[in-house]
Amino acid sequence: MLIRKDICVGCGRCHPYCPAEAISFEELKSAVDQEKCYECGTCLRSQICPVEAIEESPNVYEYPRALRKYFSDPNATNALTGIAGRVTEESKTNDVTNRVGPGQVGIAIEVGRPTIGMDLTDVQKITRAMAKAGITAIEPENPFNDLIQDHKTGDLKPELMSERVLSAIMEIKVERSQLLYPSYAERGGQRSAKRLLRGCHYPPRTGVDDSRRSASDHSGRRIYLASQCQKQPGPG
Amino acid sequence: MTHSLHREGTIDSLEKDYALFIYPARGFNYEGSEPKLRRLAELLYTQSPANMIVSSLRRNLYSGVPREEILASIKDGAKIYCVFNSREQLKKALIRIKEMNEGISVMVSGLIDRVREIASEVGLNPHTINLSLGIQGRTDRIPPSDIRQFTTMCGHGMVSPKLVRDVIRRIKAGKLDFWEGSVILAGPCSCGIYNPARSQELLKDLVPLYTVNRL
Repeated sequence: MLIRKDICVGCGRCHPYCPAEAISFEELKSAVDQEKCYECGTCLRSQICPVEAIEESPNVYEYPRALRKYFSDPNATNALTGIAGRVTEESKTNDVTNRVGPGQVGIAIEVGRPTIGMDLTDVQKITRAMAKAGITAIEPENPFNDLIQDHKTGDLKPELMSERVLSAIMEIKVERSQLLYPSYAERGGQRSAKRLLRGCHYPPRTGVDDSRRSASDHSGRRIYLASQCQKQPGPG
Repeated sequence: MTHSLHREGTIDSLEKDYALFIYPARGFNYEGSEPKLRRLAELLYTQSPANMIVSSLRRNLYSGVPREEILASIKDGAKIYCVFNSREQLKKALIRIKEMNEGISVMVSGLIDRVREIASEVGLNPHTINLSLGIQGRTDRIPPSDIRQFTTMCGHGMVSPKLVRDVIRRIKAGKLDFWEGSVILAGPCSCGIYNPARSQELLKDLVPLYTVNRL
C-alpha cells in the first residue's frame, strides 16, 4: 500500500488500522514503510482516509511482491489456486471432498498469525526442518508448494527471501500411525491420537487451579476445556 | 483449519461465541451452488446472528449495506460466515439447516465440548474435527492476552492491536460508547466472524483497567 503525500493531510486516522504497524508520520504526512507492509489492504478497505490518499502500490501484483498480497489479504484471489485466502479449502469441506480420510490426520502448520506476520526466511527454517524429518509432500493444491525450490531440502526460492507476509500455511496429511514421534511417546508415555482428538495432547498440569486459568494461557483453549469438562457433570 | 480455533478468552466469554461457516467445495458442489447458498443466507439472517458476511460482497451486518443487496451479490461458490451469541441460537440455526439439507459443507467452531453437546442435541454427528495445538515459538512477540481476545476474533488477523488500544482510549475519552467501539473493531474483519456483542462485554471489563496518556 502507499499513501500519496500530495493528498495526505496528516490526520493519522489510518495509523491504528494497520496490523503490521507500517504506517507512521514522515514530515507531518503519513507514509507506509514498504518493507513492513504486507499488502493486506486493511487501511484501504477501512475507508478511514478522509481525502482518499491511500492506494494500492503499483507493483503489488508483480512477482514476488504479489505474494505479500496473496498470503495476507483475505479478499485477494490467489492466481495459482483461484481461491481467496491463503491456502486451499482444507478441512472445511472435508465431508464432501474426503481429502483427509478415515485413519488419516491433516496437519496445518502456520507461521505469522495472530497478527504479527513474518519474513519468508522464518518459514524456510520450518520447511527445512520438515524436510529433515522426511516430510516433503505438502498438499498439492496448497499455493505454498510454488514457493519451494527444492522439496528435498526445504529451501525456498531465493528471490522470495526479502518478502514478508501475514501468514503462510503448510498443509500435510499423514497416516494416524505416523503421527507420534518416538521421543514424544517416550517422554509422555502412550499418548495416542485418540487422546489428541479429545484435546488432552499435553501432559496434565499439576499444582494449578484450572478454574483460574484464563485468556493469558494462549497455549490451549482446548486443553483447558478437556480438564474443565471432566469436572462438570454431563447433560442429564 | 480455521482460525476461529485461535479465539481466546475465558470460558464464560467463549460460551457466548460460536462461529458458523458454509463452504461449497471446488470441483464438487461449487457449480450451481448459488440458489442453495442464497436460501441458507436468508435462513441465517432470520436466526439473529451477531455478525455475518457473504464472501461475494464482504460487508458485515453493521456496514449499512442493505440485506437485499448482500443476498443479490451471492453467486456460485460464495462462502457464508457468521457468528452467534449463544448456543441456543446456534442450535436453532443448525436445526433449520439440517432440515433444509442443501448438501453444502457446514462448519461450527466454538468450545469443543459445547459444540459436541449441541451436535448431539440436534442429532448431528461431526464428520471432521479441527483442533488447534496452540501457538508455539516466540510468543513474546505477539500482543498481550487481553488484546488478543479482540484481535483473534478476526481469524485473518485484520483487527490491529493498535486499533483495539485506540478504541479503548477513545472510549475512556468519552468519544465512543462500548457498542460503537465494538462496531469499529468489527469493521476490518472481512471474514465476518468478529463478534461485536462479545467485544462489547470485553470492552466493559477491560476499559476500566487501562490508563491513557493522550486524550
